[in-house]
Amino acid sequence: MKEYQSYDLRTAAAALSLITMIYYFIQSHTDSCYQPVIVVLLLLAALCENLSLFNRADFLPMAAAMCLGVCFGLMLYYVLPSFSDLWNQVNFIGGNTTAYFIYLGAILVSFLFAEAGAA
Amino acid sequence: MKKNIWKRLTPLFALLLTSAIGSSLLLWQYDGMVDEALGVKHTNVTVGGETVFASRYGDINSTNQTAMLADLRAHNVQTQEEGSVLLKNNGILPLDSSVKMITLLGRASVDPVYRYTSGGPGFNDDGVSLRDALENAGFTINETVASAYGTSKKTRDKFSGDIGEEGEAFFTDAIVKSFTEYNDLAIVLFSRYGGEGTDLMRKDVDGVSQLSLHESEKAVLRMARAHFSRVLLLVNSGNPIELGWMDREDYGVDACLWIGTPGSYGFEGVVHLLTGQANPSGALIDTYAVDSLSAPATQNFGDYTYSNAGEFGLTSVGVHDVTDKYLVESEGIYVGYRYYETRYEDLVRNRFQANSQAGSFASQGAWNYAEEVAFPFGYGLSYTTFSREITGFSDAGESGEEFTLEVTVKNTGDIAGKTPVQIYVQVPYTEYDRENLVEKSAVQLVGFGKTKLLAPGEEETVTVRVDKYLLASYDSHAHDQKGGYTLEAGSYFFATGNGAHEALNNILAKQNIDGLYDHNGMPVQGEPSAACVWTLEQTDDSTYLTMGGSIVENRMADADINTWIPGAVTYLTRQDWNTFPKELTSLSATAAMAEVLNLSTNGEGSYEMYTRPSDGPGIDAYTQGADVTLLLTDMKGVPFEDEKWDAFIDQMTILQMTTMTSDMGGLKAVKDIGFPAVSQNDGPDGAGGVQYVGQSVAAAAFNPSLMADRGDFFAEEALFSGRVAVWSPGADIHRTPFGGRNFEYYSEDSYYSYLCAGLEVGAMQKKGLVSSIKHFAGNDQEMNRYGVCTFTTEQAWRQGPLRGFEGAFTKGGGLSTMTSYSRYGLVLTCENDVVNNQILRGEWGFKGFTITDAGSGTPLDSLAGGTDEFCMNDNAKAIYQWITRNDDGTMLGHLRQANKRIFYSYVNSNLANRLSYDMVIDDGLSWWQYAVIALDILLGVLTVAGLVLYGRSLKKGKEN
Repeated sequence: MKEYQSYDLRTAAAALSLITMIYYFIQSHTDSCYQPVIVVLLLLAALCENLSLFNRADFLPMAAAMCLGVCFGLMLYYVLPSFSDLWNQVNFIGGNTTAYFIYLGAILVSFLFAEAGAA
Repeated sequence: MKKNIWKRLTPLFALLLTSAIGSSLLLWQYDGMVDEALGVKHTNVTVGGETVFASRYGDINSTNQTAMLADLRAHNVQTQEEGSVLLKNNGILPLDSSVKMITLLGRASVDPVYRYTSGGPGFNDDGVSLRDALENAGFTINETVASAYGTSKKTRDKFSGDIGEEGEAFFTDAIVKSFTEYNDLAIVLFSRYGGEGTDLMRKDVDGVSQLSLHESEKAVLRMARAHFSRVLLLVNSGNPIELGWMDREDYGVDACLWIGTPGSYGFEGVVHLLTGQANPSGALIDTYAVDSLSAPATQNFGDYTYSNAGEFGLTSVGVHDVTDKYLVESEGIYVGYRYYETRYEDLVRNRFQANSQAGSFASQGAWNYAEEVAFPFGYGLSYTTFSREITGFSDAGESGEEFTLEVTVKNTGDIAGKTPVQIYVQVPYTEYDRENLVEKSAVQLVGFGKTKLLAPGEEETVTVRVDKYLLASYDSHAHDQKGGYTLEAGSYFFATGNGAHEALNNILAKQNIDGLYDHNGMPVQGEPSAACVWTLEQTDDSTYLTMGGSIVENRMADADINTWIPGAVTYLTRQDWNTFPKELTSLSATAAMAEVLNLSTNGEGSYEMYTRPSDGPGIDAYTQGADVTLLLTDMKGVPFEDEKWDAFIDQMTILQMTTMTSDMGGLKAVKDIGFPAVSQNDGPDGAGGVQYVGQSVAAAAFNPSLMADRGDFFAEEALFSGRVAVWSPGADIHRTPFGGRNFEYYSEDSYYSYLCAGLEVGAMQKKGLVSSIKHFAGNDQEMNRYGVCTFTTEQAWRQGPLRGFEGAFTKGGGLSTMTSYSRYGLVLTCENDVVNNQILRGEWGFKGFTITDAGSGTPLDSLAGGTDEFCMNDNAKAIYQWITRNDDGTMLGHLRQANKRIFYSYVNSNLANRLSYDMVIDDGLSWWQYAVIALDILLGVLTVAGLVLYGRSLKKGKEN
């Protein structure tokens, strides 16, 4: 991979992490499902990616990807019960499943960008 | 290169590891459900105790289980036979032997609704469809039509209300041509569908009431009418579809049978009815209105948000934060037939503006009973006819069954059959009542029985005992405004009949009232011999002054909106039918209301209203973790009030007690005190194995012994499967015809629910199955069920939503109940001290445990408000931390009480069969838990290895 491609991917990962964090922060408060650790991990990921753009420390892109990976796993843990409602066609656990899908999707895409950019 | 590999793989491992750990935690949290799904037992008890609750099939083994399941299947078939209600028959039923070739019409004929969405088992592998049942009986089905329906793209959708019926365009030439060969009979099957979280709609995707006959259905009926000489309609619905059109010439039908939700085996019973192998004997458990919107309750049913919710920060999010929704049940006590029949009496007596246009929906002008009601509550036809006469009456019975009525029933037709014996009573409606707004229904069901199979000309005298309590009315002005139950002096008329309307006409005939008519508008005389009178000389307000050791008095003013906003609503009162409810769409919350609501949300940061009492004791007030000298097996037969229970609870640590409050599909073992893990299942239409015929069909059988058998079979299934508790039955009322869960509740009539719950729960409990009857109480609509503020009068609460449950505990001795998501007034049910502690435990003497609906309630408020277990909600840590960090002996006291109730209930369940001194509890891990641990470890190792290898490659790179 060319250096500029890696740079672009890391920039994209940082930007998407930041946007996801802002969206999550606002939306999750509305849905009363806010978890500070998600915000912290997204913020760390964005920070690491940004630093990696100016600092050639090799571990920074990987650290960002690690944060996003852990963040995805945690998010899955928080929202899986709500998805069971979709499966069972009931309104049992509740929750804003549309927003949850967006969180998961955005974090996963950020992770993939970070992964690719870390190469 | 290598460095790049670990750089990429390590984050991927981290993602997988976190996902796996998260999923593992969830699986652990719900381990009871996972075990259940995989058919494994988390905890094994290797040595059992003596049999306290025995199966009538003998030992618990597969041979006896097979025998039990065969009987259970037969029970379901019989329930369907006796619970299906014949509403019309022009002589085509039972089918004569010439009927061989049948065309099934209606898309639901290939896709019936066996039950609505809810808990309980799925359709069994050996279940029977309508087509199977017909073919097994020797009929041949029109394959052309069946195939066409089978490939139909139409689907019913409970969320949009789409009934999923094919219209006129479906009937191609090929389909119509196929009718020629299969023209002995057309069976039309119409369905409705709703369920948990989803009511039926007053206006669905087609822009009409979901219970009305849709244009697509009319097309089906026209097609049937045009091509078949015999048309039979099967109503496959847990909600009363509007049937006022049934006699129309263009799309009317020759016969109609309500079959409700038949479960796995019900269609066998349906076909028995069609062939005459069985004779219908069911009766309607709901009033069938010509227009379902005409019920007073329907005026306020749906989504109502406080108009100023935003101003006070009231919200509608998730399970815990629904504070901005309300429901005012301004119909008061006049639910279902209590409205239609009461207004009918006042109409024929020409009083109280009963003939006004208020509430007139199907009537041409002034309100008219026959134009508004298609079929009355309790009504049902048979292939034969019966006469009914009250031939004996006594008021000398013991407490709880003071009255004894003997009803002589004679089969006056020429086919053998059985019939329900329904006993109604009319209580005096006096000037005092009108002044004090004590509402009285013209008739109310107070007892029931059923005849044996009577041969033509045979008669039987059926004895029905009636509890005097059901004659009392709650008067919130009695006892100097303190309130209480009263039996007013005057004449009490008992009557029987084919439904509430005929019984009322018999009462009115006894009172020499003329101008009577039936539900078709045909003049009738009434039958005075089917009624009798009991006279109370002096008003009695003392018999029910205390119940269960508690004074019965006004407790629910906070659940009446007029307490918070004086004059906010005029409840329907019989003395002026112009008070027929109006829809209350723009209610504004007051600051006082908002303050209460916001206390129970995240607005205060904790959801908790509870605060530690400043003068409350510390946790040292109680002994904790004492040496174990009593095992649970020692508590068998120990009365609830015995101090030995305190000694038993003293042995437990706070942590152990908090763990007992978490039901994640079951409770975990507490080995120290000899409590093995237990599993609990959802109902109400099954106990984990067989999908039963719907509960409302069982209720429509009006057969006390069959209802008790249902409970007994639940308990038998539990004995064989090792379950000790089931979240069943359901006893909320069918407040409106649109309720999404009406199918799994008994009836629109709270008194009938009271009687049924007493029988069914009593049978369950008798054989050691803890019956968590749900949803206690006032879960009167699924819309906004998470926290809707529900308001009505104290009389309506007590004689309506609460009454349906009361029988389960006072008559049936039930030891558990699942609370509703909704709010009594402003406070969540599971957090409501008034209903859980003061009424349920105080007045009704309930000794069992309450469990929340899934995820409902907050830990401290719920415990303080009378909740003992949290369903699918692990609050153990939160409770433990609160008690220990705040040295809160008061909360510890609540926790101890909760544990006592839980253990008391389980030691009086079939769990007792497994308890002994020799019992060994193997609380090991299930195989799937080992597998999950192995996966987590593997991913953990890979992640760490990836980091190490990445670090090493980094180091090497620097060295190079």
